[in-house]
Amino acid sequence: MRCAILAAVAALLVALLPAEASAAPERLKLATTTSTDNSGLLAELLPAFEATCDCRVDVVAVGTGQALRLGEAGDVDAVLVHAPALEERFVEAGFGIERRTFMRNDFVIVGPPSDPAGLRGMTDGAQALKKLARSDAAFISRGDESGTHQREQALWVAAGLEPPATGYLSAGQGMGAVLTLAHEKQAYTLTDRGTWLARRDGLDLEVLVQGDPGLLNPYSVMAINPARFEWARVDLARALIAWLCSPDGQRRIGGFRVDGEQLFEPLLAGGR
Amino acid sequence: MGELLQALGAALRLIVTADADVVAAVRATLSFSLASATFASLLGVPLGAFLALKPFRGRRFVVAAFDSLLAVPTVVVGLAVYAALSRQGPLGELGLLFTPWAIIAGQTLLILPIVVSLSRSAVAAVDPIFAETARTLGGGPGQTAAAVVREALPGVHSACGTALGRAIGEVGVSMMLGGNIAGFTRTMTTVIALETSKGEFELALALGIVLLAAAFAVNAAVRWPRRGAES
Repeated sequence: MRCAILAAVAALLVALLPAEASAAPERLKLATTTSTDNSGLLAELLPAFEATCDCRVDVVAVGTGQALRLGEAGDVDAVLVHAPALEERFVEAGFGIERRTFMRNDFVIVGPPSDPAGLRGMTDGAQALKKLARSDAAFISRGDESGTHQREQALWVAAGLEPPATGYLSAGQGMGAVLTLAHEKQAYTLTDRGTWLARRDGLDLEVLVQGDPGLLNPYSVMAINPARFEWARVDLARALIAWLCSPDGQRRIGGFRVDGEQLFEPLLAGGR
Repeated sequence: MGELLQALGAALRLIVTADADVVAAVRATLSFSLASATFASLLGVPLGAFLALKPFRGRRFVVAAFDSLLAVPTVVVGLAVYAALSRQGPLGELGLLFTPWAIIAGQTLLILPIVVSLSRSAVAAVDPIFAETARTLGGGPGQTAAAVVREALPGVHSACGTALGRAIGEVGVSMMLGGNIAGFTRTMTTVIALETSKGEFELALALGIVLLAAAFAVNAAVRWPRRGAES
């Protein structure tokens, strides 16, 4: 009787274990930001790449800061992030190689349609934050060392201000979650346009500040240095970088639409 | 309210049509939690029986330690196993972080105290007369222990079932150690966390319903052998 139960459990286990776990194809671990994953871009791009490399890409979607730390620990093979200053430091320290900046979108400040701080129509992000700080409207920060959070901190520095003590909420969550939070609390927040366009349905928020060159948001991809971590799958990482920068990859990035709107702008030949 | 009902309808549709994302998440959750419950039972039942039957110095301390580990937060287990499995950690060479094996290892550690603690009390509750009878009938220490554990089987079953339920429902270990990788380490609970954070409730609700059903099923399966023993 007990043997029968054990056998049944074992059989069920074998039947259930995902095929990937047993017959392991080549796997590339990619640490990336919630903006590329939550917007649906990677779900659109990666199957096409996987068909060319005969491999699987395991996407670990976290903030840019954590993605770079996963790279520094050698826990992933490639990173795709958006914080140029941090990326340069990452490459200089010898963790990343072959960094390519291959697409961009921009940041916007969204807020409640009633716009209590009166930001509508502004273009300069730093000026907008200055004005926001003078009102008592609520602002939600990612608070997770993500690329968006880095940019927000840079804007506060440019505004010559510390983030205000009141009305400033540090969420510690991904972009999608923070937009939901801003919607629920009718607060302002800084978001990348890609996630905003993908998630704005059902959100009682509006784009209020946009269009400044200081709000541009470039994305880069790089491989983890195999001289530092010999297990890093630099072959697969190189293939991914080459594909993202190839005419085919660039065309697919430019062609990615949510509700008819383009979310990311390819930066290399073939994409336009 | 209307929105919620609409989401509920969409959720039921996802379940009835066996949506690919739902199936993948259910499959991942069941395989990881069954594997960890199996490992935890194989380790934990003998350990629990040993703690119940064999007096030794400091036994009370060990028992108390396992009892208090029942309340350990999943993220603490996740953190500890993460530190061990990261490439910078002592087991980093295995390259197991962000794979199903990392989740199974974490869940096994998480639920081991449940199996040990509950099966220990089940075995300890068996009337000492069984052990004595087994001994007077000429049973060795191993045979005696086996006889007592057999007597405690309903309680041991329920220990393993409770452990399985905890593994199915936990999210901290799966998220931290599996990385929520689509089609690989994405379980029901991590999908629910992700979809809710994105503000998309249909898939989250669908999996919430399946999770509840799984909890009921496990509970029923645990109770069934015990009722058999009682009647």
